[in-house]
Amino acid sequence: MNRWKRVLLLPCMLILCFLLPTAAFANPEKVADWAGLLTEEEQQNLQQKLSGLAEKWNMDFVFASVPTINGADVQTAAEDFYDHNGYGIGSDWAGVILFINIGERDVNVTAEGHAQNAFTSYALEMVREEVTPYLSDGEYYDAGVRFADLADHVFQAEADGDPYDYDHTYKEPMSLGMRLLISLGAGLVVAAIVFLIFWSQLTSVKTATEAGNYIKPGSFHLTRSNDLFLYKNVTRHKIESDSSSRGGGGSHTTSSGHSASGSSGKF
Amino acid sequence: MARVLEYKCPCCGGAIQFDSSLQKMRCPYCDTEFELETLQQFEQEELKKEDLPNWEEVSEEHETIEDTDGTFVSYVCEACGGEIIADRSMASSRCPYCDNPVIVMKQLSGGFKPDLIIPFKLDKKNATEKFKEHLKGKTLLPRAFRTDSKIEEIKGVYVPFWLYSCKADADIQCRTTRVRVWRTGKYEYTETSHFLVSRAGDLSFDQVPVDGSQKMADDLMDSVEPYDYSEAQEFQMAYLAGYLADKYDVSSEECASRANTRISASTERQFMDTITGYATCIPEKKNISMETGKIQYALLPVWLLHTAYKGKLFTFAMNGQTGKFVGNLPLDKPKAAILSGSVFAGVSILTFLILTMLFC
Repeated sequence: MNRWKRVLLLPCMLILCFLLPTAAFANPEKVADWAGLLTEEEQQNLQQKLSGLAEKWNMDFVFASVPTINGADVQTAAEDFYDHNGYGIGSDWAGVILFINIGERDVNVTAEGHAQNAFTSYALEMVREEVTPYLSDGEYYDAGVRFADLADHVFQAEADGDPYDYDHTYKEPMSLGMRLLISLGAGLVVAAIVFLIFWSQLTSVKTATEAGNYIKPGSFHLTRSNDLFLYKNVTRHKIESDSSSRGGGGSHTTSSGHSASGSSGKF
Repeated sequence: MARVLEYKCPCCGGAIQFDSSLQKMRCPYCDTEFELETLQQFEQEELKKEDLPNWEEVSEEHETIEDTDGTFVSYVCEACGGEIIADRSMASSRCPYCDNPVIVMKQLSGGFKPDLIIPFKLDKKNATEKFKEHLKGKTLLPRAFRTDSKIEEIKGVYVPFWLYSCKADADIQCRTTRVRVWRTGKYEYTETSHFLVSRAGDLSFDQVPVDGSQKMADDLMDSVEPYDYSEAQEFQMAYLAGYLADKYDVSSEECASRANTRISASTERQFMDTITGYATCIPEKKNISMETGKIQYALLPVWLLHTAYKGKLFTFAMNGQTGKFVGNLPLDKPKAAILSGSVFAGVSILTFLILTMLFC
C-alpha cells in the first residue's frame, strides 16, 4: 500500500500542478505596498480584488508602491519591479502593474506580454490619467480600486473585439444620479411646455402695448440715418494648449528580456 | 471772454486733447484715439435735447345733444354705479358691467355727441354662435362650464372710445458695436468697433382707440380691436335703438397717456428696426414727440356676455363689426394636473430608458 502511494504521489503531484490555475505560479502578493500607503484592511481588500481579476483574466494585476527610486527612470523601475518580484502569468509574463513612486511622485502603468493587446498606448495613458487625481488627493486605496476596475474594463473591451484605442475611447458610463437629473429635467420642461400651450388656449385677453395696426400706410419717413464710427479696440488672449506631462514607451524589451509598454506621469 | 472748446471722449467721458505726435485727438484717460471730425459730429448729436411727447389737441367742440322726446333714458346700476343709455323699451334687467340685476331708470341728463359711430354689423345670433365656437377645442376647459353658461344674456353695447390721430416724430440715438474675432498663431484676437447710430424721422397714426369708460375693462376692449373705420358713420341717435350705449366718464386728457404709450412704443419699434447688422445695440436717447394730434369721440359696437362659474364672473366680448371673440376661460385644475403629471412621468421614464441604453 505504501509503495503504491509513493509511486502514485509524484505523477499525481505533477498532474495537480497542471490542473491548478496557472495564476498560482505568479507571485501571489498582488499588493506590494512597500511605501506603506495603505492600511491593513485596504491591503486585504485590494489583494482580494486583484487576485480575483487575475483569476478571471489569467493575467497578473499588481498594485505596487515604493518610497523612492533614487532618480532612476520610472518606466524601467516599474518593469524591473514587476520582473524581479516574479509577477506575470504564462510564458510571456502577461499582466499589468500600477507602480507608484511616492518619493518623486511618479505614477506608472505598465503592461507586459500579451496584456499589451488590450492595453494599447491609449489605454495605458487613459488608465494612468484616471488614477492620477486620486493619487494627487492622497486617496491611494481609491486609486488602486479605480485601477483594478478600469483594467477590468480594458480587458473586457479587448475580449469584445474592440480594445480601447484613440478611435475607440473609454467613456465613463453615466451615473444614476446624472441620468435621473436629466430625465426629470426633461420631463419637467416638456410638461411645462405642454401645459403652457393648452393654457394659452384659454387666454385671449391682454392689454395692447403698441399701436402697430394704426400706422398710416406709407407714412414712415426716415429723415436722418447716421452710423458714426467712433473707435475700436482690440484685445487678445492666449489659447491654452493641452498641457499634460506624458511619458511612455511603445512596446520594448525590458532588462529581463520581457516585452512591455507603459505610460508614466507625475501626480 | 473766449470760450475754450473742449471735446468729450465718447469712450470714457474725459476731456480730449490734441496729440501733436500722432496728429490726432487722444484721450489721456482711456488712451483712445479719434479723428477730429468724429468728435465734432459726436458733439452735435449729444446736444440734441430730449422732448416730452405732447398733444396739440385740435379742439373739437363736443356738442351736447338734447333728447327732447324722451325715448332715451339713462339706466344706473346700484351695485357698480355704471350708467348706460338705452331707449325706454329696452327692458334691461342686468347691468352690462357687473351683471347685477338691479337697475334704476333715470332721465337722460346732459348728453353727449359722438363724432362717429360704427353701427352693429353682426347680430345676437352671430354672437351666440361665436361664443359656442370660442368654447370649442379648449382642452383644459372644465366640462361644466360648457353646460352652465347663460348665453341668453348677450347684450349689444356701444362703448365710448377716444380716437387719437397724430404724427409722431422720432429721434433715436444708440451705441452699437460690431465684433470681429480671428486667430493667429497662439493668440485669439477680438476687435470691437464702437458706433454712434442715430435715426430720425416721422410716422403717422390714425385713430388709435382708447376706451373712455371706466367700467369697461381696458384690456378686454384692447383685445377686441381692430375696428375698420371705413365703415364709420356720422352719429345718429337712431343707431342706438335696440342697443345699450355708454357715455364717456374718462376724459380725453386722461386717456391720452395710454395712447401716448402705445404710439411711442410702435414708433420706437419702427425706427429701431432700421438699425441692423450690429452685435449689440444700447439706446442712449429716445425722443418721441407727437404733433398735430386730433382726438375724436366714437361709439364702437361690442357684444358683451357675462357668466358666473364657481363664484367667479367671466366676461366675454365680441367685436360687433368684425366678429372677433375674446374672453378668458377658467382652467380645469384637476384635468391640468393629470395632463401635466402624465406628460412629466412619460417623458422622464422615456428619457431615462434612452440614456441608460446609450450611456451605460
